[in-house]
Amino acid sequence: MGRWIEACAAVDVDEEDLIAVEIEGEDYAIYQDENGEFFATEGHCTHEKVLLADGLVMGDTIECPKHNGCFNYKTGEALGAPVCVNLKTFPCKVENGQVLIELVEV
Amino acid sequence: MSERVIIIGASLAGISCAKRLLESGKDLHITLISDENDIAYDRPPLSKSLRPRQPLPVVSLDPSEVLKSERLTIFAGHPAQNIDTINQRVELNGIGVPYDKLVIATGARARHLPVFESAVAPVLTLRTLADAKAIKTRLEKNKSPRVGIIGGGFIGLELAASLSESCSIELFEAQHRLLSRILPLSISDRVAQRHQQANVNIHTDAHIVDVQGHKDSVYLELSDTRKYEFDLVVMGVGAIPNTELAEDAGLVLANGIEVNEFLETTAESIYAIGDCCAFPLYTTGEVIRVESWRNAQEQGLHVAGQIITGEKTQYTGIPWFWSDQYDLGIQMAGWPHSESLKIERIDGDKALIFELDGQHRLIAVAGIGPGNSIAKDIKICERLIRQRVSLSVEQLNDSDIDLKQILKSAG
Repeated sequence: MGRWIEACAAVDVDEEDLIAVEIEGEDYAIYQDENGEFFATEGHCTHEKVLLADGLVMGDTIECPKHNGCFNYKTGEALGAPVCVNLKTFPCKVENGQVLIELVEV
Repeated sequence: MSERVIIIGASLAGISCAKRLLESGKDLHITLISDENDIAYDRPPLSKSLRPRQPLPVVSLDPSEVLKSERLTIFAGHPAQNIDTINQRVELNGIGVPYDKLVIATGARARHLPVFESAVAPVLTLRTLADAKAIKTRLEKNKSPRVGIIGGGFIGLELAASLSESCSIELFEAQHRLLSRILPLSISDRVAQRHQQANVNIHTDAHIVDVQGHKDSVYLELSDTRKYEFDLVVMGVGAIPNTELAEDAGLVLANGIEVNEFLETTAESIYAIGDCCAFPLYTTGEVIRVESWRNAQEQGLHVAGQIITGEKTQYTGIPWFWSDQYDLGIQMAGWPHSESLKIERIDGDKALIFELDGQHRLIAVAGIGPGNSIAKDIKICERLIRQRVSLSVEQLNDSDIDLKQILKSAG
């Protein structure tokens, strides 16, 4: 069992968008999809350590702000060059208006 | 027998192509030919992150070592000498290597100003890892080197930003403003201001009329008689596509090696990709040559995909560029036109300039802001450029209207 940690308020994340949060010195990205569901991944692109938070969310995909590497943020899957290493994802839930993520790798 | 693929050029375009081919698992053998000794390194960090007395910013294009495959033969430091299109062979070191498919990814080389041609002085260019090493060695001879940079384009400006803390820098631009060929005035003004804050002295309308070189210093004279002494001068005055090999082989040129929408040259079974080729822009058909990281990568992957499947597919990439200088990020997408309608959207410290055609369709966008803050907007614009639908000037102009909403209502 991992630890559930408050990441941000649900209202901080727009629909079909993401924000960066820092928890215990580590960067994470918190996403909300078009249906109001929340997701969490590690905060940086696996290609060149760029923060994903400035990237673009379209549907299930986050596109890195720098070299346009794309990932499915729900599964972490890297979707082709230049990214070949998947993103780590984390369990995510909303309670009392707060987004919580479970700090254990899945 | 395995299909034989030769790739000439081992920078981003050639390496992306080779890696994709190897990863496909298809039965083929690749020969990678490079005139440089160093291969498969990323060029952007060389100007963006070069610092004296720090390790060279070497970023591998092959971190997972796909190129260690037995199905790949590498000739590094051996320029291809000739392409025999009749017998389908590339000659190097006096041997002829046969191909079924040839990919020309020879890139571009730094342009030299005629006034510097006779100079024996420390006047360098920055394109390759060897260039970066030479610049770094020169810089480390002095505690606070005086550096002259010729050219206010991306290479010159990025190098100025990288070196501004450790060197005293004068930057000379022949045009009336920085980045005049590629970026709108309001963005280049912000760039100039940021450089001035960092004590980089920018001289526009500056024409070098004389260069006097000595062993460890170089004197420049401008047309207005001003004179400067430097420990090192770096020229960043554009690039020339490496088309000679293709030209000698009888391929058609058009400001680059001419290719069609499949990135095929005018010769049988020969593709050209990256900085060296001139290709039809997907949205307008205009033939363009693009010096950009993403273009090189995408064209390399695209040709690999066609070789793997054996099917012709149109290249549909939209040009995209970026530059990092200090804390500023600049990004551009599309292909600008001097006569386009220009619309500005200012949002705090971020600025976007849209370029519309006569039917108010987006053809290009440029943005500047802290870090990667304009990246999201540029990506949305890239999709709008692709959609080719007429847009409302008022909406583009109004920073309260989310670009993503414009995209969704346009789609």
